[in-house]
Amino acid sequence: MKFVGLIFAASSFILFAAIKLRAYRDRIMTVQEVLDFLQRIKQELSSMPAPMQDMFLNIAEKNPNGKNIFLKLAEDMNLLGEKCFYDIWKENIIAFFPQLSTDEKHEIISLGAGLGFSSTQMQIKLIENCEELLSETVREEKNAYPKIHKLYIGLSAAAAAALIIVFI
Amino acid sequence: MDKLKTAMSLLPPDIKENIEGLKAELIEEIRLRVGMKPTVLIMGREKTVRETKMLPHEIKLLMEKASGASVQAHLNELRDGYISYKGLRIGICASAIYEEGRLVSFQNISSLNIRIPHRFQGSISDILDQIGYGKFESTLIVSPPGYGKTSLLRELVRQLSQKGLRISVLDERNELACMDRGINYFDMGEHTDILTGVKKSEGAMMLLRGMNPEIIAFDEISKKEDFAAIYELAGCGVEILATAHGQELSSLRQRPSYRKLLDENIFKNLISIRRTDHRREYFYQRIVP
Repeated sequence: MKFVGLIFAASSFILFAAIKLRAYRDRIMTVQEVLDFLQRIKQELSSMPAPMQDMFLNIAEKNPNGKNIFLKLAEDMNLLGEKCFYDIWKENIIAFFPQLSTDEKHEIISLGAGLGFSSTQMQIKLIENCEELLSETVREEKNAYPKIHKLYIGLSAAAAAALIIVFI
Repeated sequence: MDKLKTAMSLLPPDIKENIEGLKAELIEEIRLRVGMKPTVLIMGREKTVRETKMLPHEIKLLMEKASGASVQAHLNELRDGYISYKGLRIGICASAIYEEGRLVSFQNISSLNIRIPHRFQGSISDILDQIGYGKFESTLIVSPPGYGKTSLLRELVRQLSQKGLRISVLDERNELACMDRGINYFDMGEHTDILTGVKKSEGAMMLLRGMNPEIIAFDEISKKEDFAAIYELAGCGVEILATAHGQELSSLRQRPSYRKLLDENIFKNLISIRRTDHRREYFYQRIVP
């Protein structure tokens, strides 16, 4: 009975470590995707002001293999008049970037309130503020990743070794 | 699409419903003010179309739809106090935001005025006879705002064009042709070319060089640059058909920029519009000796 318990605990730990590592990696990738998303909007805003729907379509056309958040945003812009831009923006950020932390989500969502009615200079400033916050996060998490990776791999290896000893 | 319907597509459903019960051809403007009851302008009088007051959120939704949620895309128009939406002109009152001395955006929109363009009603054959088809000479249409200057100008352009005159229209605010994606909403005649969205000062010479017009028509001369464009055109062998805000000839003469224009005999004819309760009257006047 003790052996079964040990086997179960060791296997669960290995599985838990794998899930944790994957989630950590996915989060870093999501933050990078958001940074890319913001970068593309910033580029488009600085090139020529256009209605938001046209801007999202332009970005989607330039990046046919990219995430389809731009297409979805462009499609949802048909709802303007019934829904405000802020709500459309918020819904899409939540749907496309679920791995973001609450603070990060709040920061990106609040961009939606400023984009429509701000000057180009202000729009870019608002995006840059978000980029700064996310870049800092991504840097910290990337730096921490090797340690966390090492820790989970090490502990998993120990658990696996314990399992082997038990089997022998 | 009917321009009133286009305007109504921007409105909250309850206002839309109430406007549908009114005579469409009489509605000149839809006026929305934050904290006030929405109204429509009919023959110069405002009529309430909803008992509840306009909320800031409703105005914002309307503005977002009309601007495509991008004030920046309409900044040039906003600097002149309006935005265009599918051939409609929407006048705006709001708090302006300046950066380094330049107007860069608007916030806290307090009033919107959606102007509904109409097809010309009535006959202008008498006026056309007086102006003369064969030898058209520069003509100024004058009336207070909302009396139908733009409609009359549009009809004159259409009829003169149908008679074979080559007319170029400089439609800076897209109020004359109400063009949507390159298609005119109003018939401007067979021999009419339309340039939209360009300032009169820049567009006048573009049309002169590129389109070889016999007549150049434009709406609302008011800015210093507009007068400069007229002076430039006057010596180039092209006739001008334009409109101006004012009561009649004597009131125009009180304003220095118009006085100079009239003293130099650039315009040979003047048409003034007067409005009684139910109809408009047009008065022709030869203003050069």
